[in-house]
Amino acid sequence: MTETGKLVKLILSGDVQAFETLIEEHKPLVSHVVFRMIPNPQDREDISQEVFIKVYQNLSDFRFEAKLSTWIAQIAYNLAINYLRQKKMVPLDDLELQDDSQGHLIAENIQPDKKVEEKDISQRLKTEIDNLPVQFRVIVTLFHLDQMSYNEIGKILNLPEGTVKSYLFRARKLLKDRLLSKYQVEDIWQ
Amino acid sequence: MAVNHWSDEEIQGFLDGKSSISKSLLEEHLNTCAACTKAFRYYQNLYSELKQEPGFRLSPNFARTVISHIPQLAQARAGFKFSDAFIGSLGIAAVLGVLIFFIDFSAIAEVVTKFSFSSIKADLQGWLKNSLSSLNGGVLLIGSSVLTLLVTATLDRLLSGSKYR
Repeated sequence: MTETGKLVKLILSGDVQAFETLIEEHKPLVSHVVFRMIPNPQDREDISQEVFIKVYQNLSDFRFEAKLSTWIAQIAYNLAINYLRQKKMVPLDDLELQDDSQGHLIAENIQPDKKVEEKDISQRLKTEIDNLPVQFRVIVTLFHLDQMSYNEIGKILNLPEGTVKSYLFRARKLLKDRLLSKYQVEDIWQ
Repeated sequence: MAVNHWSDEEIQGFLDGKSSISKSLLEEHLNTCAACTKAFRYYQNLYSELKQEPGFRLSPNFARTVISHIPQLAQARAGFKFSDAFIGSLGIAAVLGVLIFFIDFSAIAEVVTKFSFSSIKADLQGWLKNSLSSLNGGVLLIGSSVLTLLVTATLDRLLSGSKYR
């Protein structure tokens, strides 16, 4: 039996410490997904708690067809999407993606800021990530921060692998173009 | 002469490790093409930034809070544990053993029967003197008692150590 299998078995037998271990191992992944999707800090904490409560309640249904981390991230994504829908915070065109997200920048709409310092780039990037459609945000995060494959991300977002690959490319091109045009970071990134 | 620049897709594919283009071919092209070198560096920097943690941290007692919201687990955590009870009993037995060995019960009985404030001081002094004098030759027992307590504490730490994390 794999380590994950043993852990799941222990949790199902009522081992509290095993569940605590599961939480500690998957806390960063859940916080990444929830952070990228939910703007309010208190709601992030509440939804993250809800994710693990749901994980516990549904663990007996986990069939090991995907990685445990993929299954947990899927629960986090679905809960966060439901929350955004309830709060009417996800416009339909965000989920369906606008033409602008094809990666073409409308230059005249962009007012370049003053030159940014190197330390500001991370903050500017966070701002630009927050301006991306919600699926783009999650894909970029899962790929770069959690090192997930196209296949795993596709399972979490219920999207075909090809679509994940395409969205990831478009998201990164958008970020690069926006950072270069909007914040004039080219001197720092030379 | 027309120059074939690398597309954004090709550069991203290379940085993702999913391109069929070899590193040597890339380096060869970058050495001669300033535009592609620039684009490549922009993406390198972007990738590096995207790997940075977003800065949001869940509360330090997050796991315990979650568990407290699940009735089955919260009960299990608060419930009886055989290992705790066994080690606790062992520790209490060791302490009682030490006390029984050193205490002169007849002196206590005498104090109780002859209870008067004037005699208490003298009786307590006598009892203390007797107790201390009975330590002679009991060094081995004291040592073994201390050892028992240390073993008990170590076992407790080992068996239920994770709860102190």
